[in-house]
Amino acid sequence: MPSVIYGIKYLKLETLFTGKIQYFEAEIGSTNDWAAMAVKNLKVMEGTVFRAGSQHQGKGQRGRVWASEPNANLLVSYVFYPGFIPAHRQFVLVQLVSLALKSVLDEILIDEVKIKWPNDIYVNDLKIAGVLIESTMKGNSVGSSIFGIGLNVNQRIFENVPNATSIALETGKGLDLDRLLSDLSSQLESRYLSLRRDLDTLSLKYSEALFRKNQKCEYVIGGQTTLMTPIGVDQLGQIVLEDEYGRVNSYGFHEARMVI
Amino acid sequence: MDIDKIQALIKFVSKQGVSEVELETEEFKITIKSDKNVAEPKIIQAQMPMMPQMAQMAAPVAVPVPAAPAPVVAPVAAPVPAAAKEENGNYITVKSPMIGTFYRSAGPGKPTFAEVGDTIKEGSVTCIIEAMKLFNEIESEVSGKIVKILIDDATPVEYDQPLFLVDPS
Repeated sequence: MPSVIYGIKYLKLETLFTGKIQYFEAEIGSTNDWAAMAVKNLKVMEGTVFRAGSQHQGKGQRGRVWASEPNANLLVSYVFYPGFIPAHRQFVLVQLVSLALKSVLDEILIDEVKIKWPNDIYVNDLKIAGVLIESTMKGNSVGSSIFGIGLNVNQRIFENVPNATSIALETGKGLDLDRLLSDLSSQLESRYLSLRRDLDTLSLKYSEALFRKNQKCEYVIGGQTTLMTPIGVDQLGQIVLEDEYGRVNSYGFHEARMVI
Repeated sequence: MDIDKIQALIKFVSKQGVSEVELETEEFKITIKSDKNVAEPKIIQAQMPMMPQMAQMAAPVAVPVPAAPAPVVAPVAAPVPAAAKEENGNYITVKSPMIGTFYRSAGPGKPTFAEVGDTIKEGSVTCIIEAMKLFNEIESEVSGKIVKILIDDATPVEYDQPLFLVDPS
């Protein structure tokens, strides 16, 4: 494991606290693991970001690896302490990070940016960013929460990843990673502060941005492939699907998988 | 059921050393649990179904509350604290704060957070519960020795479902 304190930077950002303190490592196993270790062992200020040039064990969900070319993409983990969020309402964190990424990308890309439930960011049916949120629970509420974000920026070749794209591939131009980090920090912070006032403030926007919303799609449910129409998410974050007979049901992450 | 009967029931429970009594009538359901640390037993749950004749009662008093200081009567509609500690004999039951999938380690091939016989303290990570791709390390709110793990790795858990039995002594 690398040292926790290395390459600390204080950035000039237009935020109150998000992204102001930045730790940077050229190469790291996973920024989420690094941030988690720091939170356990040090006093880490809310909004601190752990950033890497490349990750050799970049984490997707439980063991899936996120492939990234060195220094081409934005690989960051933000630390927040959303103690105001009860355990059963923490899907608002997914809404927060997904919508922040969508806003950043909406400014840059011409094509529509969509959220593939629960937290993959898609453009033109291709994945451009992924999110992995890892939290600690203290009793009934969230203690610390680490927002791991991988945003494909300047990488143009994705070997063995057929459904990936990047900002450079979509626009034909490269982009400065520091500028993106600054934009992302602002977008995260404004939504984080609005969540403090109202936990439901992001639900509608999230549902509106759902990938293939109101379109019939193939889903694998209970081992069977069926045609379903995604129409939104419920308060727990389950996807709400409507079947061909108009029956509406909610499904958890392991219960329904979209075929794309 | 009137106050006298409730009090008689409480006395019965405390005398017999019974840890839990559940009584259900047409009118209501009452659960009395004894707390080993307190001399008097506690009523932790009392429920009254919405029956028409009850709704018409002049005074909307749900359940008569005994004057005795120790017993506590609470309507069942009050939120039950999750990740709650609950006495089970001398053991504490650690419950799930949320719906999700229970994992005993940080990832495939990684060491488990806790095994039977391990001593945990407040703040120790006991497991991960995942829901909608949100991964949550569940920190213990109690100290003690893990006596039993009640859920298999990578299986679904419900809100408030017992996860571990912990011996606090």
